[in-house]
Amino acid sequence: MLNAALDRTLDSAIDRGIDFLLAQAEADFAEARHEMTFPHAAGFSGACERQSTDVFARAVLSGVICDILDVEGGDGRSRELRRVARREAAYVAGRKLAHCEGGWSYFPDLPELPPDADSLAAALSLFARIAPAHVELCRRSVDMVLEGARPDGSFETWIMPPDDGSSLRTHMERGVRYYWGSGTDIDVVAHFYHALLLADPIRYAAAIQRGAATIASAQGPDGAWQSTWYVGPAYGTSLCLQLLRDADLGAEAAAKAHAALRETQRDDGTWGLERPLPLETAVSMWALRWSRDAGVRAAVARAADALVQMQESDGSWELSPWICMPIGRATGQVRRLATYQSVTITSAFCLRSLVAAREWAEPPA
Amino acid sequence: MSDLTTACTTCNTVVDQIFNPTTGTRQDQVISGDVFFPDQCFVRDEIRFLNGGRLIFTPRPTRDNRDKLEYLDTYYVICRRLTIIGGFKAGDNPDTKFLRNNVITWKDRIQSAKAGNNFGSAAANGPSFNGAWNDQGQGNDGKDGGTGTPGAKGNPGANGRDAPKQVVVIALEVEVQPLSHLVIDWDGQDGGDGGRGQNGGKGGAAMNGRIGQSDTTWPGTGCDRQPGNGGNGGNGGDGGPGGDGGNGGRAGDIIVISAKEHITTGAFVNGSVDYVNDGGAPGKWGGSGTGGAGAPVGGFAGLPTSECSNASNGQAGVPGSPFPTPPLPVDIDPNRGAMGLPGNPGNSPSFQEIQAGTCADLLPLPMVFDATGLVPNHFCRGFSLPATGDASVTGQNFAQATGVTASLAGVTPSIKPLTSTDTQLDLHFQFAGNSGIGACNLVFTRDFGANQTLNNALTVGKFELLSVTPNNGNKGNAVSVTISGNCFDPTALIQQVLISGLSVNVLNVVVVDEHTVQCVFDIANLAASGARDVTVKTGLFVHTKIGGFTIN
Repeated sequence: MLNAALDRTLDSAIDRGIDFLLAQAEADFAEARHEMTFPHAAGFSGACERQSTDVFARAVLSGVICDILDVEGGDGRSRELRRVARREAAYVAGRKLAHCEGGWSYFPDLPELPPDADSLAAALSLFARIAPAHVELCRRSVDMVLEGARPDGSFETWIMPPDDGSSLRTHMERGVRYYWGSGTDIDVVAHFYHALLLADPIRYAAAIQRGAATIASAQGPDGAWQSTWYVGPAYGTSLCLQLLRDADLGAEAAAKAHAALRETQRDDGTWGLERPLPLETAVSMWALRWSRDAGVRAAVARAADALVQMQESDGSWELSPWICMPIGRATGQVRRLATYQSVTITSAFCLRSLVAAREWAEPPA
Repeated sequence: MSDLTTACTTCNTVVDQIFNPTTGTRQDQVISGDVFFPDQCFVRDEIRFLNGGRLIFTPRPTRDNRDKLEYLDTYYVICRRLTIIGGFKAGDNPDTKFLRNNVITWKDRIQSAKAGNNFGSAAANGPSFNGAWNDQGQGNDGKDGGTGTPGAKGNPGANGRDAPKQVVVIALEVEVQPLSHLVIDWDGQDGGDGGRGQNGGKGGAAMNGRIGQSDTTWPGTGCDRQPGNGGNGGNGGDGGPGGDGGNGGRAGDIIVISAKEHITTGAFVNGSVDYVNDGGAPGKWGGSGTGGAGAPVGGFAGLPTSECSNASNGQAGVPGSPFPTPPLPVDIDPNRGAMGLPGNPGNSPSFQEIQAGTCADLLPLPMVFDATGLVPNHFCRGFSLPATGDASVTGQNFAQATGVTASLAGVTPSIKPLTSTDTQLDLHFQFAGNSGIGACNLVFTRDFGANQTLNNALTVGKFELLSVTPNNGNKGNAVSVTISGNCFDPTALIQQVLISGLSVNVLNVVVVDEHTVQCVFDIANLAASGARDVTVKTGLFVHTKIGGFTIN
């Protein structure tokens, strides 16, 4: 157990965090909506230049709620949270692209943006845990990814529909070529194979093994995994550690990653390169809970205390950059990183880590 | 009534227990640590302060309430002999009043009055800010944290208790070993220090600057909103002033009663004994509360983006200051804790000569005579001539004897100083030719205290012929006579019996003992009839009985 005083403040912080999250759910997570402008002058062909999306964010949010439910069991306010997660699963299912195979696109109304494996992974993870009936929606998209995978299990992030000569395929190919770029994105690979593991670990066992081995071998010399689409080292590293743990592979890589996380913790218990960041702190904490190293409990306790200190009066946490879009990647020269951040997303991750800290007395097997 | 008489009255029972010549049980006490004494009269034969002994009078339960303790007005230290070994002068060591020194004092003196309570918690922290940025301009700065609340004034210390009115120290003899000291501390209790002021509250946390916002247009070229600067951390609240110090207690009086030499030039006035009764020290004002900590860090700058410039972190809060501590001009803050007032002093120590005719007479050790008494104990003078004699007596405590007198008139004893010791007195006697005879008491005078008598120490006789038996005889006969009297000396070289007139020879004179002489009167036929005088002579003494023998 953490100390009693921290336990009491944790209880209070968690209650307020859940209040905030449920309030955002009531508002259909409007705060988490991501908008960007893709001008026609730049070659985009969307009906509207201003594109808006929330499906990926809501899929991830609901996955985080499922994590909380896994930790909490049937206790506390799980009934309310479960209801939200189920509702969100239905929403995500309803946002599957109807006009092309591949599943879900981050900006579904932007013709140049193909469906992607990361969005597919978010949807599949959610369905597997809270709405199994929707898993079948993902079947064809999963097969498309696996069919296009390389021998080591890596694959392209973009799930291109069959080359049927349609204009849609043309737009997407142009988008990949000129805007989004191609190649293996480790964060997406880890996310995808973990989703398969949740959905059907027997059927996809071989693919998962290959994917996990590839992830283990892609670890950076500093113990972290570099993300393409997420800000900071913690989020991608957390996705990779999650896969390795559940696939029971890469123990050495995991230990190295845990040590790296310990070393980068700030004196005040937080994580963040230039300043304490709630999201970076929360995700690092979450990843550390799988470590069996001595001293991890103390590190997590300090982090939990720091998160409590950083919580706002309304139960939320200050938004932290989450998603990044490397503009110029397709040309081989990244000009800028367009980032996306959300109070709701940040707060959900922080809440999940505090719930885990409260249950620290019974570390996962 | 003198202080000594009062002491005798007050401590009569205890003094009698200790010093009664017949039933008294004289007790010594070495004081080398703390001796807490709950009664009024500390009476011992000898009190020896040794390398830091403290005799501490303590209060005792009242008659009405056993749980309530009270001091009496006066306390007494009574002894025949006071010995001082070790210790410091009162000012030689900060602890001299209390620790590791030879001290006579009272219990509350060895600890200050209760200090004021310290505040258990600091003043309220300043508020932290979060939740809403200043909504102006592009980059919205974080709000500063609130300043902590200044601490409150500490609680005052308790006033010191007044000392009991006086302490009386009675010592017939005093011995101070070289470089040794005793402190008689009958000062008032020191006032309690004021409580510590309340600590200031911590500064509140500042708000982070708002995150920057890049252009959300693909591919984007600029910064939609600059990141805001972090707010400054709240300053800590200042510490509160300490509480007032308590007033010192009033001192009591110190009275010393001893032999004249000790209070005029001796130990009680030559610096070997220090007297402290100038009033209990005032309590100090309490320490200031510490300033509250400033917020350790300012708010962080809002995160920049690739198009936005960097903002600044806020400054950490400034710690609060403790309340200014004296010395300060009084007008800086009239609310700061005040020093207590010193207690009123007692009167200057007074010194009185110990007086005979009081219970002090019992203090000296009694002279103890061995059962053998005076040796020899019988003396003779001439029938009308003076005589002298020497005698001795053995025993204890004879050094205090300063003179001797006899109960018989004409008997003058004297102490032979050159040969007398503490255990043997050698005496010389002069017997006048007309001195009294019979049993005689010897009365010894002492340095201090009542005379001490050796009853029937000797008997005095005079050389005297009392009768001749038979007291007549016929002519032509030899008559054996027995002469009775006193102080005949069988050992004298000269042993003669004479009869007046002619024709009577005295033959075969034998001094049988002190009272009897036997001899033969050989009466010739030619002896004239009539009364004759009979004279006895032994040694230098001679006595004649007129008409002591008749010739028929």
